[in-house]
Amino acid sequence: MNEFSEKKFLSLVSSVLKYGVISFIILSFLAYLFKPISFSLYKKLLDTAVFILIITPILRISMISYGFYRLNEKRYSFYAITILVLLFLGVIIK
Amino acid sequence: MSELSFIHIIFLILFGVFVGVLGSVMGVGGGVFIVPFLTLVFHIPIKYAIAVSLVSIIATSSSVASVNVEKGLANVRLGTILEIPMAAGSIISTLIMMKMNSAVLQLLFGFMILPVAGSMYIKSRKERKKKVFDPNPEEHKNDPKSVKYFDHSEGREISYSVKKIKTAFAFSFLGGTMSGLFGLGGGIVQVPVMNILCGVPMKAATATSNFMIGLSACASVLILFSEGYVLNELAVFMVIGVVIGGILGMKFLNKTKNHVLQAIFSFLLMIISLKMIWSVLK
Repeated sequence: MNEFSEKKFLSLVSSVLKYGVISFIILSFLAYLFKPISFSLYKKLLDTAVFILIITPILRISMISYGFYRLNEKRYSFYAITILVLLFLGVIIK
Repeated sequence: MSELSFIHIIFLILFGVFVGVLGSVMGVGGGVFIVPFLTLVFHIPIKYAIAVSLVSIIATSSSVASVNVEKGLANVRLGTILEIPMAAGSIISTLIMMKMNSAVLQLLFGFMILPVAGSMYIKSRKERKKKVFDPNPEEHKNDPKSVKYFDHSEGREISYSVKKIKTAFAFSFLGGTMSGLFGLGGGIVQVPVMNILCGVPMKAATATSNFMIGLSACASVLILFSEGYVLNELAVFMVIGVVIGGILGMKFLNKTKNHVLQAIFSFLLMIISLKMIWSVLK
């Protein structure tokens, strides 16, 4: 029996998106708190916050690929992997 | 760009809130407002403004989609298929955009938001007349391939079947190019394509488009980030404002008066468009 249900799959995808944005907000807030103490730490925290936000859709599409694979819908899992390959190509051919 | 002062930060957050409220009320991404604001008010070069706009699109898309995916409103299967051409269009157009002359890009942006303003005005008229194209859910009830979601406002389950995916595939490439070239979400292409062409109900089409635009923005931002076009400090405070505005917009605004706001802001967009064009030509 396949215990990995569609509901669980959608909940995982939703969690990835939600926690991506929450992590971004927490890090940005921390960055602002540290600004008067250490400007370099402020910059590093801001960079990390933006980086986490940018990779959130990548994590989401990776989770979709995994989820469809577990749901035995390999076609959609392949589509998601194709998107990941495209994103990778975009960065290396620039 | 030099370090942001406290006043700049407050100004950015407040503008972000304004954009977030507009986005959730009118169903447009913030790009049409963020790019002109940063170029005309903050005098940020347009390519950097586009990068900031795309980062804010990732934030709004992720926060809204996290709710819509769990509700089953966003069609993840359709979204995944259409994200392939959208990502490709976004990557190709970003590579072109980086090589373009900034004045030409600003001129194109000015001309580009004119049809966006026009479509917003038409939407406001449609909303006033309460005419929205939605397929009859009874038609698809027995179709084994139909997609279902529960519409809480109507209190019933809605079924629909997705049609003409191949044509929508081609249009999605166009949606992606808008993201990479101008820092817009591309929802202005995706929503009508999914609604009119594919037969997806308006609510599901909007939710699916919102789910997709984060990925196409990400495809562009990855390139721009690695090339140093993303001004992190600027992006962070703008995004925080946009996220707060999005939440406020969803919670407190009376959506039945949307058509008035849409009409007003379609005129505002026309003025912004002319200002963008004029600032290049003068």
